[in-house]
Amino acid sequence: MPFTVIVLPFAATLFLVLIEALFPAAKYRWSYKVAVTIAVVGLAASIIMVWVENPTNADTAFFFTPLAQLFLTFLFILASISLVVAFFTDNLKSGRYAPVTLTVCGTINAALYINNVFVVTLCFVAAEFFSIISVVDVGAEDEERFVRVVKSAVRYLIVTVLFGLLLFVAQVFLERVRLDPQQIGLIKVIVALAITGFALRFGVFPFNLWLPQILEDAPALASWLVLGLINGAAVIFLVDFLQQNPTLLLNNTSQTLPVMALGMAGAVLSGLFGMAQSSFGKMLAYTGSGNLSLLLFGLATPHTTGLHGAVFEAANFALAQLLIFTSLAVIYYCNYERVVTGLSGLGRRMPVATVGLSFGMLALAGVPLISGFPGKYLILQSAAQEGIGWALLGGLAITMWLLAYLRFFHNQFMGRDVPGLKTKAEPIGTSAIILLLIGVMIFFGIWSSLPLDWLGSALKAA
Amino acid sequence: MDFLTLTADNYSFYIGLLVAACVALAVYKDWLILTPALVFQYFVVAVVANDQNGTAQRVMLGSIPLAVFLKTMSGVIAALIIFLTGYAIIFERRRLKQQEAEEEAAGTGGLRRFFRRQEKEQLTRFRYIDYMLPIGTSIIAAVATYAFATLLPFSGNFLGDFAFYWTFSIGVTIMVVGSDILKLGIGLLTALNGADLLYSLLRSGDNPLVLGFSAAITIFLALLISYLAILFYNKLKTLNLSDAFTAGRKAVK
Repeated sequence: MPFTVIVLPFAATLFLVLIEALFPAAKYRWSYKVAVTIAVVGLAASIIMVWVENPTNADTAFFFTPLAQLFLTFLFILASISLVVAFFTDNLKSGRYAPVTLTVCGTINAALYINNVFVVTLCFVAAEFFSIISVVDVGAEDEERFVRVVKSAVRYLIVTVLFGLLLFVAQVFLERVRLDPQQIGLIKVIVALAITGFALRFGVFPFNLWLPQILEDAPALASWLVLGLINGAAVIFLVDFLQQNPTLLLNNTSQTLPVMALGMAGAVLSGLFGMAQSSFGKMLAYTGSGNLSLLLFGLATPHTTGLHGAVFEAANFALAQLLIFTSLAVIYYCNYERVVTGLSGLGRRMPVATVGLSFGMLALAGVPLISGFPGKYLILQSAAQEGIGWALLGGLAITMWLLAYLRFFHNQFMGRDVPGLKTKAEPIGTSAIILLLIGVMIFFGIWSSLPLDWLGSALKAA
Repeated sequence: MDFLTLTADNYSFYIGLLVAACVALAVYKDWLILTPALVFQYFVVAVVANDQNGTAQRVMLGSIPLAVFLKTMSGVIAALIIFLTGYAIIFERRRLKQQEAEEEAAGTGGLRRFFRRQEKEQLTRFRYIDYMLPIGTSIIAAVATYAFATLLPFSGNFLGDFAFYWTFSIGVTIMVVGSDILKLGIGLLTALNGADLLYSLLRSGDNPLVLGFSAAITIFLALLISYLAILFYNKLKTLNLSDAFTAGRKAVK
């Protein structure tokens, strides 16, 4: 039943849009609850379909790899949590966030289900298109912010088209090499095109110029869609792509070095630029870029530990980003729609959000006992196998990400209050979610062998 | 439908049409010229792609190749979406004239008032300088196309190489020079069309699923551009994203 698997999230979206059209949330308050319920039920049904409707024969046109099954389940659970957060923080009032989240989930579900790389690329392009609708979902009261958001959305749109274009061309050349193995010289071009395409998608430094402005000005949960959800799925696409074509990178040592250099240079330079930022969103964008650069480095290293570490790190990245953006959404909501940049002394007014944000950032910096540690440890272990210099550079990058956050931490969360600032109390629902996410991070940080075993067996099966 | 097949007789017609359509897209600002030019560009690229690839599937009782049909239809729908967006914005502008006069008299309106005045000035004034940059960049794109098609041919056919490099470089040119959302969107659609052509040039036998999906993506992109344009216009009464406005904000305040 491939049709049902693909169509289900879109059918739920359609239902959601109909409900919103018939019973607008502005008039009918219960419409919010219905929207969240439909979206979460739709995602839960999709998770079930991911596990139930999977043919045993991998040669079919529609097939979920074991890794895709694991990741889709994880990402859809996180997307459901983000919808609940959106409910508590008034992000559903425009009626766009829930349908966009469902559509993006539906599109990445189709992307990881369809066994045609060209269509998969187009699905990712479509998912990015849909996410733009939530990026520009800001009020027009602050006109300058609105102009900046639309500008960054246009930049993101251009990057999306370039990502699709580069991957398309890479896949066309790859097909040529398959048909005519004598054109082996094209492999360098294919790797360059594919890695540049994914670097644009991930926002690996220096291909990340579109990212800081989005994270600075777009709604927090929309930023999670762009940075956490789509990137999480894109990592699985990249891993599948590389595993299906091992001659490109995994079994081709001559190609690994430039990609490793790109990843590590991106990680270090992102840390450096992150420390120089004066606004929280931009610092977050650079540390996020650094994480994804290190992840790319891990994928390129010719060791299983690097691959396992990178995949684990992708899961941690999605989780940490959700925690960070949930905390930012709470701060935005409690401060009557003021962005975090320019505020100070928030720790006393919003302790749970502050703790959530700190845990998220510590997870990005790979602090031990949190879920960010095992992935980075494995990547650095793999780096050390290639030479101690790589591992030291990785360590330097991570230290700089941590310093970049600590620069903001004291002033914005522990510093003096902004005079006359009015704030609301943190919603109990979001506080519970933040504490739950922290608990999950600590659990996977301490008992990391469990998810690593799952990922290991999924990668082996693939 | 012989005219859908490239022959020695219609070769120069199609090439001329492609060049003219792309130049019109790069140089003009008026959406009344841009939308037909976009349709012509999609149509010619579809004919070139079909000629190079030789798709077996045909539609409309076997008279039209599938690739030509899908590409042209997606181009027509995308152009229609952009046409309707431009049309809606023109109507909105007329409706706003009275309100603008009232706000002008009252001295209110802030950034929006500034935007509107700028927009009006730009629309009603013809300046050669406005066309110099697009024409200059189009000439650079033409030189780059010739250089790439000669030095880096990849499909074994000059026409295919030329059509790809030309559409893609014009798409990039429009994105670099254009400052309003609709124009940037047209640049993206043109570049995407170039990518589609590349797929047809390098791949032996088109996959209908990929062709269909690609057509759907073209339509999605046009819809998204339309959404962004209307959203931006509704809130700020302009389509222009240029940095001049950023600098001008201080003057308004």
